[in-house]
Amino acid sequence: MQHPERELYELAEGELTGNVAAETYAHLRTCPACQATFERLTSLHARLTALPQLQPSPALAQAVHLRIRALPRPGARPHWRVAGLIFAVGLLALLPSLDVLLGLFDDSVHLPAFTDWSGWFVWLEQLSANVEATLVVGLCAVAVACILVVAQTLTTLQPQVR
Amino acid sequence: MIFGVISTALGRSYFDPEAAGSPVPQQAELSDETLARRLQGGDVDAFNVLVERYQQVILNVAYRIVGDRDEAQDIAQEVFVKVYQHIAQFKPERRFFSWIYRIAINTALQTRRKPQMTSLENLTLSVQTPLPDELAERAEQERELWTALATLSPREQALMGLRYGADLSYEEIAATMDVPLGTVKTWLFRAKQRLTTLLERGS
Repeated sequence: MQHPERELYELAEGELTGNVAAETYAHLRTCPACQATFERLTSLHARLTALPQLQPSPALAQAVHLRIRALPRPGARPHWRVAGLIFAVGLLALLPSLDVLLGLFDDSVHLPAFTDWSGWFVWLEQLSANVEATLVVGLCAVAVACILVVAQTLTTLQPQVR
Repeated sequence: MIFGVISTALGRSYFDPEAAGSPVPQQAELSDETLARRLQGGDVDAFNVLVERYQQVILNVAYRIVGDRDEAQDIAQEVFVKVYQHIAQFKPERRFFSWIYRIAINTALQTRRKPQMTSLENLTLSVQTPLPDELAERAEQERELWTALATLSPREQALMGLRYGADLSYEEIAATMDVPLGTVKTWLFRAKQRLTTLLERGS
């Protein structure tokens, strides 16, 4: 048998069993070179095992708990329901102002050119004359619901943990 | 009450530190995988049990890799926060220990020490504190070992962390690193060969 160097490493760690272990032991008894290697390896294993084992301080768990308080609970459903509710309220609020909204898309209404600032002021003035409070509430609610959906979608797209 | 209603509506639960030290007794007997599944469903008590179960080994895996107690503590903290944050990514058909150890070794390797710095720090420490001969010799041997460990490659350091920090078997290391058993044996064999050479050269 050649010097079973690799087996000696496993034997020194107590990870070698069965016939291979028996054969390695048999070789060890007759090979002074391997005996020296084995002694070195056993000593290395003992030194590695003897390195201090740390005991966790209570501060570790406390720090973890403090940090997770600021995080969303795992499995918490995104706020789709809240977003849906706000969206529905927004739509309801928009109903009375439907005619104003549809008027925006009427062919007879011509929007000013993009750079025509005075034209936009006139258009806004005309619009505000027809606008009701419900329209503002409705538009705001729909906008908030959209922001909520986007924000939640972004938070669910977490990078893969490594 | 209003806060509670809002908190429930928003799907958030604020952790009660009072409950931290006393997880539900039945939870303590559950397997890691069951606890992880419960945590995926939002059970924070399951998380407490996992922290209690793993804090020491994670701390020691990190310590074997970075060689610094305070840094190991910070890494362990970071590992548990990552577990909490990313538990949805844990696949229940896998073993939890391999998932958390993988997070631990990656987090530790990102902050692992520079070899020279460690040896100097340790040297300063042993010089500052006068020790009886035997203790001084042991401290010196330990310092040599830390220095040798610090010069290993990241993969070898991870192996040493799992083997001697978490006391994992070769099979468990293979499961954690997602490689065949023979590969782990070869890597460990080479790592120890390098360590032996480094230590002999050092002494």
